[in-house]
Formats: sequence, C-alpha cells, structure tokens
Amino acid sequence: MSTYHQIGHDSESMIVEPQLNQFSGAILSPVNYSLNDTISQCARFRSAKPNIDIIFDPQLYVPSANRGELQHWPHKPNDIDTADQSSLEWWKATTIKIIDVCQSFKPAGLCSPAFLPRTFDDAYYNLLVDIGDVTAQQLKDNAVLKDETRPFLTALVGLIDLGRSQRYLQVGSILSRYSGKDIYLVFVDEEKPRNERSDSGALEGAARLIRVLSQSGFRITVGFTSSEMVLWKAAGAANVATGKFFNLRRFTRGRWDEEESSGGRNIPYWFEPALLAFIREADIRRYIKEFPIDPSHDANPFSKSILENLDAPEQKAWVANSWRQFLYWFAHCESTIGNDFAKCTGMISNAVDTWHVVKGAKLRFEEERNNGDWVRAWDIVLNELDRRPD
Amino acid sequence: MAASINTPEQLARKICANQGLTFIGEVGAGAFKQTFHVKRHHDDLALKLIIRGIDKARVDREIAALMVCNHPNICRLLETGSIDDGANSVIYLIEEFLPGGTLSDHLANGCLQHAKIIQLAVKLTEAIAHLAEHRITHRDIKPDNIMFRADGMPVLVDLGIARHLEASSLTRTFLMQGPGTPLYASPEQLVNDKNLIDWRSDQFSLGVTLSYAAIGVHPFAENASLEHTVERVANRLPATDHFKKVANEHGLDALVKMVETWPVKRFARPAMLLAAWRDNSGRTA
Repeated sequence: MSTYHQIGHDSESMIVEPQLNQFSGAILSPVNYSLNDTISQCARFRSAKPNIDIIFDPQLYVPSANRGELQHWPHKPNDIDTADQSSLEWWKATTIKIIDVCQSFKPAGLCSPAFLPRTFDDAYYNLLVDIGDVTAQQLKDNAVLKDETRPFLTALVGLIDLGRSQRYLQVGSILSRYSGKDIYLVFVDEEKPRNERSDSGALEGAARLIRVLSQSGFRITVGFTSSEMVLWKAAGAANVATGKFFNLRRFTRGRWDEEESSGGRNIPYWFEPALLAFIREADIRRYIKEFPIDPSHDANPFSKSILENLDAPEQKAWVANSWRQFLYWFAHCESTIGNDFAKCTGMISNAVDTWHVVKGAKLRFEEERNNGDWVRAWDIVLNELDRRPD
Repeated sequence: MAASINTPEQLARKICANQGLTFIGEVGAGAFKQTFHVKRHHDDLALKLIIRGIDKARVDREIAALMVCNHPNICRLLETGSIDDGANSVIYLIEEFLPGGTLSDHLANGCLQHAKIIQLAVKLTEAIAHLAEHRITHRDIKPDNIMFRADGMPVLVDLGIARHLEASSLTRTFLMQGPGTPLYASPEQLVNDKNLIDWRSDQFSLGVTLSYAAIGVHPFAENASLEHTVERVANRLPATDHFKKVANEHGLDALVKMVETWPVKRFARPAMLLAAWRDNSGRTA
C-alpha cells in the first residue's frame, strides 16, 4: 500500500525532497514536461530514490484541451482531434506509439490510454477494458519493457452515475473483465474547484466499486484524489495518488480546459486534518485561537514552518509550503490508516465532531461552502459500507 | 427448405458408406441434431447430422469453436462434411464417441458423491478455462451437455451457441428460439446484457449444474415453478438461504460464489475457481 505523487507544473523537485519521501512513487506528466525533461527526471528520481515506482500516464483524456508539452510527445496521435475514438484499432496504433516512447525512460508502470466520454455507458467501459488488454498484451510482447513495466488499466469512471442503484456492480462487472492486476481508477465529476465531493450516494457507489474490485483480487490505485482518499482507503484501495493542486481542483473536464501549464491560482491553504478541510490564512488565525490543531501537525515540518511564518514580523509567501503541508499529511495519513476501516471511520467521525463544535462556537470560515457538510456525507458513506454488504 | 428425401438414418448410412465407416445404430436426437454410433476400424465414433432447419450459422459456430479447442474435457471434433439430400445439403460432424451418457442420465439415480463432484468441478473448470483462453464462452452448460467417456472422464459437448467474444451477440436468438436452457443461464444472458457475458457466465451455469448434481437444488428455486426460478435469476434476486445453508453443510461454499448474480462477485479468474475446487475441495478459502 502506498502513495503516488502526481507530478504537475513545476513540482518535480518535490519528488526527491527528503521531507516528502513517504511517497513511494511518482506519476509522470507529459502535459507539463517534454520527453527529454521526463527522461532526465527519471534518471534524477532514480538516483535520489532507487526504489521509486515511476508510472507513466499518457494523458490523452481530452483531445480538444490545451495540452501543453503533450503536443510535442511522439505518442500523441496526429489525428487525435478527428479520430473515431470508439475504434479499438485506432487505440491499438496509439498504444504502440506509447510503448515505443516509454522505452526511452522505462517506467515501472504504464497506464493504458483513456479518453473522457460524453456519457459513461457500458460500451465506453468495455472499450476501456479492451484498450487495457491491448496495452497489457503489447507490453508483454515488447522485448525492452516486458520485464520492466507493469500495465495498469486506466478506468475513468463517472462519479455521479455511480449513485444509481447497483450501477457500481454493473461497472465493476465490466472492469473486472480486465486481464491484468492493476487498475488506475479516476473518478470524474463536475465539482467546482475548492468544493469537496459531498454526494453521499455517488461516493458510496464509488467506494463500493473499489471494494468489489479489490475483493475480486484487483490492486486499485485511485488517481487524482484529495482528502476524500480516506473513503477510498476504507473501501480497500491499495494506493492513492495526489498532486500539489489537488487541494484545489478535481478531475473535471473543465480542469483540462484551463491553462494547464500555469498550474492554477496561487492561494495558500492550510489543511486541517481535524476538520478534513482546507482553510485560508485568516481562518487559521481564528481557528487556533479557540481550538487545538490536529496532533498530526506535530510531526509535519511544513505545518510548523507555516505557523512560524504567520507569526513572523515579516511574513513570506507560503503557497509552496501549503502544497507541501498537504502532501506530507496525505502520505503520512495513508501510511497510518492503511485499509483499517475503523481508523478511517474514526478520522471522519472526529472531523464530524470537530465541525460540530466549530459550528457550535459560531465560527465561520471565509469560503462560504467551507462548512463541513461533506464530512457528514463521508460519515454516511462509511456507515453504509459498514452496515450493508455489496 | 425443400422436404427431405432420406430419413436421417438413411443419410447416416450413406455417409458411412462414403467414408468407410461402419454403422452401429442411433444414439439420440436433439433439437437440431441426430446422433449415430459408428465405427472406423475399431474406433467408436459419433456421427452427428444437422437435421432440422438450416441453422448454418450455428453449425459454423460450433465447428469454429471446436476447431480451436484442444482439451481433454471438451469433445473432440474429428471431421466435418456435407451430404446431398435432394435439394438440400445436410451438414454432419464426426466426433469422438462418448459412451458414458450424460450427466442428466447419471443424476436420474440421485445426487453425486462429494469426491465425484470435486472431480466434475475440476475437470469442467479446466474446460471452461480452456475456452476462456480462446475468448470463447460456451453459454449452454447444463447436465445434458456434459457427457462421459468410458473411463468416467466428463466432457463438455455442444458448442452450438458458443461465441467468440468478438462476435456480435447471440443472446436474443438464444432466448427466443434457441435450444439454450434458461434454467441454467446467468442473469446477464437472461437479460441480454452482452457487455457482461464472458467466461463468468459459464461459471454461473456450471455452478447451477453442480448444485443440482451435489445437493439436488437450483440455487434460486423457492418452489417448483421453473418460471419463477428463472425470473428470480433474471431479476438478480439472491440465491435462497436454503441453498446457501445446504451448500455450506456439504462443504461446497464455492458454489455460492459461482452463482453470484453479478459477475464481479464471482471468481475473477479461472485459476481462482480451479483453486477453490482442486486445492480446497469446494471451499472458497
């Protein structure tokens, strides 16, 4: 069980930072870095962390989006904007190119390519499995990579759709046709930046999907996650992945329409595990006057640094430390909770209680929707998982 | 289709004369086929004539499936050909002869003993695993389609509605006109959900077959009505508590997992199913 750091804009240096070494692997980004940069990165990462597990996600999700460096990568098909993406033959040709390009940096894992569909129907999931099987077979047939690189089935799954009764069983039944072991699961929704996922029905379906696939023997890595990873770990996910901006944004179609290479807005947030919430600077000041911060901050060097900075006569910008503070929590939290359902439940129950006290004290945070309603939804999800079998 | 000029037996005798075979006698007749016992020198063989309708696609599927299979627990196809019957052309298959009868015949005397069930489960799982390797689903596993060699070895027969997963769905045909038996079919077959039909559908049918063979009950039967039972499967209602209890008492809880109504909850890989039977004698762990 481990955590992966999804590399984003200007975040490669964090991979080898000693204080963030709890991450066991990195997921490379062809959107933010060129092929040559990636080859160099891999050499540096391996030199600094010999056991690092490097995974390549080819990121062909949205053909029409601004693709940054991706447009210069050899694996990007020239006809990506016009091709019939429902054609397995087209994907076969694409995966050959992807595997070709991987030979120059030999990742330990390769995610099968996937695209964002208009609708998450059964035919789409079937095609994903076929693409995953093709990728796995082509890797197996590749003389250079067959013993170096393990295949992952990339499964982009519509989150809201999973709120429908038994939909997770239908989707799980299709995805479990995959011939390999590893599934790279990404939940897609249209939640706005900075809003936490709070649809308890959809989240329950997602957690149940993870649970049935894990119990079926698949090793699930959930990509593009934030603090809701506690739910995925409770459901049995082996690995979870995040990046520096997942305190802000989700895997939405809009995400890919943004200026990906800019890395998003630079607003610093403090992640408070006691609330399972990201709060702004003024909120921290108000909060710590009345409430104890979570004990896990004692070990988090970035929490200490941020607090010292807030008290300093000449305050420095702390956005970079805010990313690190969240990343440090993410990796250490995953290591602590593992797949221990009681620990995950305890963490969320604690957040529910803390929010209750905060609301009782009539303390409000700057962002209107930063009201803790999502932890109640998450609490309901775990309660349902515990109460009712799949 | 023009009327037949010859009876099936007359056609069988003509084929024997043409192919240097010795006609022994009739073995049985199914919905589409009539089977005869013939000999080549000292070898016993089965001569199957396609006698009703011209379901050529079905015959082609069976031949295509059998041609790619080479497994000791799947019936061996030796030759195929056709013979003129007036204006018609009648297709025939020459297969190995299976003198041990069908599983249905064996069950007429009551349930099988535990050791026999384990052997049956292991061998038939190996057979469907072999089919799965070739991306073929049998889609009609039932006691009538399990036969035995003289030494008691079970053999899967009748791949007439088997399909390669790449082929278009045949499920509607299967339900509306085909000889497939809904009583043994998986929910995904009954509701024509082609996205879910794969080797795990065969696992389900094998689970129902083994349940009959081991404990004499259909996992979903609440009463004697076959329609009610099929309806329960199609609606993905759970297997009955009675079945689960009895399966557990017999040390066969693997059966419960095999007949889960959603494929994702069944054994995920043939190797896992095989391990449950071969290594754990029908236990799931």
